[in-house]
This record gives sequence, structure tokens and C-alpha cells, in this order.
Amino acid sequence: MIEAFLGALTPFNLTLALAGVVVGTVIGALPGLSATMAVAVLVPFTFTMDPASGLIALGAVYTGAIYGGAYAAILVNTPGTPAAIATSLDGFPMAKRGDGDLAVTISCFASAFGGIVGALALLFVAPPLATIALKFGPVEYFWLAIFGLSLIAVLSKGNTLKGLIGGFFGLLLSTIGSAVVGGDVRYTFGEPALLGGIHIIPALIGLYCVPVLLGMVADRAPHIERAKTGGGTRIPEALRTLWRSKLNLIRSSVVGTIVGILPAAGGAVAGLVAYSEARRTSPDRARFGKGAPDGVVASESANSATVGGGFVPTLVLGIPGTPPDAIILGALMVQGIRVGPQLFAEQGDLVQTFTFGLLIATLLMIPTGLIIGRTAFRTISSIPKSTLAPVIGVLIMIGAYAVEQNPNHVTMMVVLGALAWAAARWGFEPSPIVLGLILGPIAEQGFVQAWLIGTASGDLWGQYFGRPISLGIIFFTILTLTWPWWSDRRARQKALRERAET
Amino acid sequence: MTLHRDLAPSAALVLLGAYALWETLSMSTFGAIFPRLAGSGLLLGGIALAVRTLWQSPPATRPPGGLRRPILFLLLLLGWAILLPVTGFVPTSIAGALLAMVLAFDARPRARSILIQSAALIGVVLMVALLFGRLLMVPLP
Repeated sequence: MIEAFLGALTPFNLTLALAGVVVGTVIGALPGLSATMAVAVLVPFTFTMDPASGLIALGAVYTGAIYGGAYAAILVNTPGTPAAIATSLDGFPMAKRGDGDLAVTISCFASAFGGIVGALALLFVAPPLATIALKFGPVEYFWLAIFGLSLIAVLSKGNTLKGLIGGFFGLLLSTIGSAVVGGDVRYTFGEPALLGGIHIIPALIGLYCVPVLLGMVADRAPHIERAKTGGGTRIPEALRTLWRSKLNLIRSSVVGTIVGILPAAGGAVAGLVAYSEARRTSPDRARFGKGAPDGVVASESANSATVGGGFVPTLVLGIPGTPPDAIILGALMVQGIRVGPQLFAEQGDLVQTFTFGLLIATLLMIPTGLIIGRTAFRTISSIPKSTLAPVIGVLIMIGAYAVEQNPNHVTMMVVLGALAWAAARWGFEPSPIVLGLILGPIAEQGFVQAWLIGTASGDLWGQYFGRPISLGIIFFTILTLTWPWWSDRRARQKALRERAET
Repeated sequence: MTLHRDLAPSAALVLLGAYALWETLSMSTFGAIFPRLAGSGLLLGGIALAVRTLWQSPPATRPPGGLRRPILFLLLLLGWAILLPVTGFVPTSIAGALLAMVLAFDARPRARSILIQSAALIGVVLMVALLFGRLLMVPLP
């Protein structure tokens, strides 16, 4: 293991890790450029390297890109990557009130912590953890999506009815195009551009960013408040916040690692599930959605932990945990490496060198993230709106287009943005719509497949309600929905008792 | 005023939900499950919103700012999106960014400020085109 550690510490590998983190962070920060794209673009450069160095470079890019998504989420209210959706819920309100620098620093440390937990899981418990992925069938994915959808109640900001309507609207948007099972063509109006459905990246940009842009030109107030403390990094304050939120940090990192292990779940689901749990267990739930640092801690630690977690099934089973893992799996195959349980036995050194490289890249993310974050915050909070709005305009146009080089995505983004802006004027938030859009296909595919399996096996009820993991997820869903009501009621009763005693 | 404002989205939601449900008549059993769920949710949500509006008259939730500039900006974005594949990324984006700058000015700007910001925006567009087109190999329109 020491040899593997030293192997990761060669000047070449250190340079690769640093460059990878910087490039990944910048790409992740640009709306529309996902971690998947960052990794895909850089894969060809690794073909000439030895496998460990290539893996370190790609892992570093991936780590940086997942973290970089937080900048746009916090400073522009547009998640740079889908993994940063939950970050924007509290990060942007923090920036609006002048705590953007604190939010960026908290996200940096939380991301590093989550990344380290994910990498340690990969190093020490990868084979047993990978078996969890095999226990997840369609019905577990269905319940996991329902668990995520239960977050709508959290995101509704005092208007549950409008939150639910937003969720159903997102669900309807997710059904546009060819059905995930059966191939029905739904709600396309005969338009070929809609056959592939609503792509998540243009939708995210449209739903989150366009209303912010329109609000920016409508309102004379500054886009975000300048820093209260002169625009530093506020490291001691961030570390104190993280220490106070240590349980949340550890729990969210573990949640992120486990969700990362599940194929196709990804950073967005991890961030949302961790956010939901953080809110449920927080004594200060009312602050969530209004700029609670705990929300940023939960989302960022969880989404960064998915990096290490995602490599578990990729390397142990050959099943990619997240889309960037699928690309890295392809790169490994090109290098002639056979993934699977035998990889750890036959090429254990390679896996360990890569994991140490990932750990080093995660640690390098702290200084680079703080420097880039401080620069980004100072820039965005100081440049005039007449420059900021057009620059964001250019970035959202290229971001929506670049995902699949499809001009229709740009129009789709603007139309969804117009809808989100109009909806916001009537009090509908974009987050429930995004939840429905992201989790709808996962829920639908899981539900229909579980139905088919249940019907074929003659135990439909048992398929949905008779599996231990499903029951666990159902339990947490019910807990998430009822806990705030129950604890508020208990607090009210306690207050009444105390008043009666005095 | 509030009453009328919340009745309009209620009506739109009921119509959208009804349309979504009507479309499911031509879908297969499995293909129709989630569209029916979403359509029913929108229909019932629209009705519930209308009932609540008539019953409670909840407070208005209008965000700050007027409507003229956002609508003009929205039309600009739409034109930008439609023209992108026709006139190409660089010319469309330079024109779009400059018009966006004009719309985003809060007060009457000085000529020097316009010149500096215009030059900066043209530089940003060219840099983005270079980054995506050359470095990231994205075929730009």
C-alpha cells in the first residue's frame, strides 16, 4: 500500500491531479458543461499515459467538475452540473444576503470531506459495498425516486399545493418523447425534436437561470450582495459551521457514497436525498431553503462522495455507477484493463495508486477551490449587471447547445425559462418541477419493470412491499413527510405545557 | 386582484391536465400510467388552487420589478436561440450580447462605459467560441 501511495505522489501524477482539478472545476462551473462532458473531452489525452496516471487525471477532472458545479449554483442560482441542484437551494439565498463567499468556502470543504469519504470507501470496502448495487432492483429505484419526490414538501417554501403542482408539471415534462418502457410516443405534437424528450441540462439552465436573468434586468437591486467582510474566504467561520454540522457532514458523505454506488442514480439524487435528511434531522428546519449553511454542507458533501462511491461498482463489477464512470470504464478497456472482482486481486497496486491519486486530487481541491471560488465571487458581485447579464446570456446559449450540439435544445431552454419565469410570478418554485423532471423517468422505469416482474412471478404486492431495502426506503419516505409535522406538534405541546406550569 | 391572478393559473392547469389525460387515451397501458398520474395531479391541483383562491384569497406573491424589460429580454433570448443555427454562433452572440447589455443598463450610460463593456463582451464571445470550438471540439453553428 505504501508503494501505491508513493506511486501516486510522483511529480507527474501530482501535476496531473492538480491540472485535472483546475480544468474540472472550471468546466463544472460553466452552466451546461457537465462532469460527463469534462471527462469525455479529456479521455483521449490519457491514452498515451500509463493506466494509473490516466485514471488519476480522469478522477481529478471528475472530482473538480462535481465541485465546480457549486459556483454557478451559489453565485448565479444555476446548478453548473445536475449534482449541484440541491446546493442552489440554500447557496443562492446565502449569496443574495452577502454570504456568497462563506457558501463557496463551505462548499469547498464539504466537497473535500465527501470526496475523501468516497475515496476511502473505494480503498477499504469496495468489494462488500459493490454487492449493495446488485441488491437494487427496479422497485428499489422506484421507491428511491419516490423518496426524492417527497422532498417537494420541503422545497415548497410554505406553499405545498403549488409545490405539488410543480412536481406534477415536472413529471408531465418527463413523459414527453418516447416512453422508457414500451416505446409510446407521448406529447410530441408530431415534432421530431421532442422525440428524445426534454434533456435535463437545457431544462436545468432554462428553469433556474433564465428567471434569474429576467429578474436581473427587471430589478435595480444588485444581483447578489457584496461580501459583508470584504470578500475573503472566511475559512475560520466555514470550519466552525462544518464542525457544528459534523453529523450532517458525515451522514451526507455516507449517503453520497451509497447513492454513488447505485448505477444511474448519480450526484443529483445523492445531493437531494442528503439535503432531505439534513432538513429532517435539523432543529432549525425553517431556515432550509432560505440560506441555511447546513443545506450547502449536505448537498456538496453528498455529491462529491458519489465520485469515490461510483468507482466501486465500476471497478468491482464493471457496472458504471454514474455517467462519467461509464466513460472512464471505456477508457480502462482501451488501456486493456479488465475490470471486475479479479482487478483487485490481479492489479491491486493499480487500484490503490488510483485511489490515492483521487485522495490527493480531493485535497488539492481545497486550495484551488478556495482561490477560484474567491475570484469567482469577487468578480460576480462586483461587475455591473449590464455586463453580467449578457455574459450569462452567452454562457447559457452555448451551454444548452453544447450538450448534444443541438440548436433545438437552445429553443427548448428559452421556452422552459419563460414558463419558469411566468410560474414564479404566480408563486411556483422551479425546484419541484426539476425534481419531477429528473426523478420521473427513474420512477416510471422502476415502477413498470417492477410491475412486469411482479406479474410474471405472481407476487405483485410482495414485489413492491416485500423487499427489505424497499421497506427501508418507504420507512424513510414516510419519516421525511411526517417528521416535520410531528416534531412541530411536539414543540407546540411542550411550549403549551411550559406555559401552563408557569 | 389576487383572486384574479391565481384563477388564471388554475384555469391553465385544469386545461393542461385535461389535455394530458385526453392524450393518454391513445397510449398503451404501461405508457399511460405516469402521464395519467401527472395529468390527474395537474387537473386536481388546478381545481384545488381555484377553490383555495376563492375560499381564502391568499396574499399576492408578485416579485419585484416591472414587466417591460423582462419581456423584451425574453424576446431577445428567443430571437437569439432561433437565429443561432441560421446566422452562426459568433455573429448572433455578439449581437445578442450587445442588445442584452443595452437592456440591462439601469441608468443612462456614458459613451466610454458603453465602449468598454462592448469590447469586453465581444472578447467574451470570441473566447467562448475559441474554448468550445477549438479546445473542446464542439462543432459550433
